[in-house]
Amino acid sequence: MSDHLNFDEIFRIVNKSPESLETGRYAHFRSCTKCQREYKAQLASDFTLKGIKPKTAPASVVKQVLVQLSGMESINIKEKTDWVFLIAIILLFTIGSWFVFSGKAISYLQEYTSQVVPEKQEIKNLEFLDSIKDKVPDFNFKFELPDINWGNIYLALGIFVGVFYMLLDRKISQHYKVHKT
Amino acid sequence: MTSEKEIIDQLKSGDVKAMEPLMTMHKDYVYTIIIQMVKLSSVAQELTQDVFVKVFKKIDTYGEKSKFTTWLYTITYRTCLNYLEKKKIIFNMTEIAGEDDYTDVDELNYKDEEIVNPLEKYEEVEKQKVIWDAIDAIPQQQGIVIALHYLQQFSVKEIADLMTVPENTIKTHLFRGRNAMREFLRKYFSQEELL
Repeated sequence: MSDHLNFDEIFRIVNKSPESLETGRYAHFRSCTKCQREYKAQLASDFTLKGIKPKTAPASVVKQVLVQLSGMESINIKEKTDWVFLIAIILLFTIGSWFVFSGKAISYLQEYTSQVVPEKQEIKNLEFLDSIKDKVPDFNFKFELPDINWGNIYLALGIFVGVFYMLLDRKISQHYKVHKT
Repeated sequence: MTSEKEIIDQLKSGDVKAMEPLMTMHKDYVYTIIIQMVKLSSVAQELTQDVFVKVFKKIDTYGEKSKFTTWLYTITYRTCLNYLEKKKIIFNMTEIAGEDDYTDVDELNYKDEEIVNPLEKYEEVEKQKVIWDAIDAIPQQQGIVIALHYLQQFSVKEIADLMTVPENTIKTHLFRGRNAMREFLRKYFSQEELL
């Protein structure tokens, strides 16, 4: 393996000084013209590059950006309105949940549904079904409405509304700047 | 003069007008990095605009724990990468080096207020042009690393984080880039001037 300074060491002495090398490596550097040449070349480029200045961007850049952004500003959706809307949804959902899960609401609903709808509905006496029944005797044609837990459905709908609101809000925020008031 | 932090606070409260001083501070640097990556001044101009529009849209996501310039150049770098990815089929950077693709002298009209002597100013402009010609002549990755390191004083680690590459890769680009530049500059400067 070569004893010459590796690029990492040259990199370091360009940033600091040759004296920052370990004693043995510094001794090698002092006696090695190849390493010194490499160091000087790097140092010279480093010195030249320290004086560079950026190229000048066309002045129209600022104007164009401001035009684009002022178009965005005119949409002017108020963040306050956004928060009021979110709080209203949460409040509505909370009241709804309380109403559904409270005993009164359930007993009222049970009483109401028992008056209007029998406990389980069956579809009967349809002639065309009877004719099909005769053809496929092994098949059960009894239609029953499933037992529905309305509380869970309400809860699922609430979660759905919340997720939908978040997705919509995120999408809107991507397009329009929301201004704090 | 408004500080960068005050400008950022104004932007976070949705004040579009705060973009003007921010762009005045950074537009030349952003443009320079972009032109290093895309090589075409017309495209660089468009992408510079895109970068600042993104800055305004995403300013709420900027956490003040990191340097603003690091955040800004991450957006700049990714915007260029997205552009290059979209265009890679029809856009070969090694073959487009025509007259329009290099920065003309007008773009090198530096606002250096310290230089008042017209001759000195002319010499400075010429010197800058030669240096940028050298940077343009070396491989693209080396040129970008050099621009970030010397224009923005980004450390090797900062550049590595920004480009999501190992630090040694950045060191190699810097090392080789400086060597390649030196070879290029030999044609323009005397040995004494180079040392």
